[in-house]
Amino acid sequence: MNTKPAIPAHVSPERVVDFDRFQGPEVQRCPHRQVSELFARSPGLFYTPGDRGHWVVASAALARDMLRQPEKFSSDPVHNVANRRNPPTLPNQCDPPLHTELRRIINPFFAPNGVQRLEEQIRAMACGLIDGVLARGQCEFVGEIAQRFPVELFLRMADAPLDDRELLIAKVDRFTRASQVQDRLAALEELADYLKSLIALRETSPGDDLVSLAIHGKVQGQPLSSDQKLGMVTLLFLGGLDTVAAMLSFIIAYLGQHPEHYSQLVTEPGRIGDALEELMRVHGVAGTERGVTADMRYEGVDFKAGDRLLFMPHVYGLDPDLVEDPMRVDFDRPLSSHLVFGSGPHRCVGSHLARLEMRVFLEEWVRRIPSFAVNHEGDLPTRGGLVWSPIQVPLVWPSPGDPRSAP
Amino acid sequence: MIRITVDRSVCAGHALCAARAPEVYRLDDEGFCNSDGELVAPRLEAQARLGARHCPESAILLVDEPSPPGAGA
Repeated sequence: MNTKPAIPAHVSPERVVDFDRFQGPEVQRCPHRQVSELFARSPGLFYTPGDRGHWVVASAALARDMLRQPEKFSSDPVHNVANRRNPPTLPNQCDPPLHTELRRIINPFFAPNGVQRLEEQIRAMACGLIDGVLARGQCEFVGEIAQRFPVELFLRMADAPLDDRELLIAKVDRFTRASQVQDRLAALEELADYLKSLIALRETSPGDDLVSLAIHGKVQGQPLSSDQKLGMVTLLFLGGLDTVAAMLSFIIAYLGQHPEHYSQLVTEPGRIGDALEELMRVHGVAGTERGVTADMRYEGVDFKAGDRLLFMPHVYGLDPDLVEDPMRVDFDRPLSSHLVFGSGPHRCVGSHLARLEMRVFLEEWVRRIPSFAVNHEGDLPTRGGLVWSPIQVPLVWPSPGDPRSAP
Repeated sequence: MIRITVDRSVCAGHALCAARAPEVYRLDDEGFCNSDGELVAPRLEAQARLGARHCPESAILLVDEPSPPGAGA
């Protein structure tokens, strides 16, 4: 058992709320509903003794404002020692102007026009994965499809052997699941060994792949250091592997449980793009941290330098101050506001790729499976942590040629 | 006429403007909005407003401008 740290003296008692993002009851089932309800009855900025003690930004408006002020709320672990990694992952664990330069190296690859050229490859992978389970009339979506899809795409983008898929899934899962800091660092270390050998390979024989692009970039005219290269490649792997898998799993589970929503997509596949934005709004998966750079008062809260801040884009799209009647999923909403990809300079670089992957996947899913259901009584168990995810999503559908297997 | 102003220091490359109003907003090679200062054809005004409304950073401001001389009433 962890002993909870004492509440620091500068935190006023009415701002203390118990919330453990790894093990709290709110993240074990229906985390989006439960955590947004917790946030609705909490101060917009509160302090929890959970996970070594940190602030939580519970308001979408405050999050947006704070994420735009890196000079006050920094991504550099120097100001957030609890989140220190060696080496830091990049460019997420640094501030402008270094951040701006590092982002420039990879921005063109991930820009909307850049990811467009991957569409056919993505479609072929989606078709392959769905066709692999189609005739069976059932699958466990998280393990059999969702985790494989982005990992395979990532290995292709990095031009790495597809045989490494299972190995990488296991390593990333250990990292995101770990609730103890030492487990997390150990998992990262193992991942680093794999990535270091990939980097070494691309240093001697560069190609037109993502790893080659990232490690041959320059900062202020100078080549990246080996730590910077590892930091960049680590984030490119981590960012793409687990997040899309988790969100796609939440979305498919939702559609399996809400046939009236799913049938709209089957009838009008052209609406999948807009519907996806609304489905993402209610199914955010990844958080981000910042450290306070100096003693300051902000929005009535006294911060001390080094205070740790947790942002929860998982549920900002469910903030009633941002979206009216936020729990209602409506594909006809004129605007599905959310901060699922963050806000400010650190906006998720992979957002356009993630949208493309999920849109193409859903297009191919509705084409093959006109109706399906989640084969589970009650709410699906989920796991909290760095990336929220359903643990398993068992699905059933009428398999072609076997009318008895209708769900 | 309306003119597009984009606060490039705030634009974070969400690119929802171009996704919603591809005829109005163009992106640069890095995916940031590249339409700062452009005038919007009257037939595209509704699209321009739609794209601006979708900017998660509120980086796009549409400014009303008097029609240029000779542009008609």
